[in-house]
Amino acid sequence: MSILVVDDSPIMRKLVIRSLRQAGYGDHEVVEAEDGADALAKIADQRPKVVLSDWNMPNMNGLELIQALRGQENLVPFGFITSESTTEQKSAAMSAGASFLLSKPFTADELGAQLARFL
Amino acid sequence: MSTRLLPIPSQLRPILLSLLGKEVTITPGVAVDPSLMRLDNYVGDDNTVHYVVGASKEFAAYSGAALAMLPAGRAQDAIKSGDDDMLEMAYHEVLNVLSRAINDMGGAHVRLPVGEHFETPALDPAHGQGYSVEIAGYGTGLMGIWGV
Repeated sequence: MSILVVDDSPIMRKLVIRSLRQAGYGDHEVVEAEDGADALAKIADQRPKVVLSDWNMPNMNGLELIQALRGQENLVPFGFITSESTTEQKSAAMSAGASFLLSKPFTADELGAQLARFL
Repeated sequence: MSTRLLPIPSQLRPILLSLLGKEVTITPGVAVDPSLMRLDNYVGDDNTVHYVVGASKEFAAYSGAALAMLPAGRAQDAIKSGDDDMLEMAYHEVLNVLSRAINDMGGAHVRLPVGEHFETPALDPAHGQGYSVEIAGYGTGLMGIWGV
């Protein structure tokens, strides 16, 4: 597995996966998780190379997810894809160890530019 | 009395245009009746409702269908039947992303609640804005935003 896409909206997961294909990452295996708790289990089981996560989700949100990962000393590259766009939230994301935060709506080029650092 | 800023079309349009991948034309100053609309809340970090967003059946269905890349006919069926889970999920995501228009104005941060219920407060027409939104290839619907 290479890329884990975490979003409580199945439609947004599909849009992110479509953007991955458009950005040239269509040959990477993609696994989906519907919230932070689901993602945490899949990360432990499948060790993705990159995690792309929404912020606002039930059960465990994206910020709690990355905090849990870093608490386990898991340093998997982690990017937020979220409607959150305030300076405070970008700062919180980076302080927690995120590599980037893309605000929805985003383009495939923007996503590809971020992923090129890791894949 | 609410003093919350309301987004203008030039703040809403680029978000919808990029999200839906369709040309979007927004006309402000349109009379809207919240009692005839679907209403959703944006809440602040203080867990109170800061804004209410209203959508006509047409706006919810057309924007959801455009986001999910479903044909306009499916949206028109949903407008008649009022029942399409896929379009419902898609419109929820449209609402989620539209919160960016409000957050980008620099006021208190808001979010679309996930898994939480908030009662929609009484709306003051003096602190709302109605918009007509045309989505190319789909159709035209009405949206309203009220500050609380």
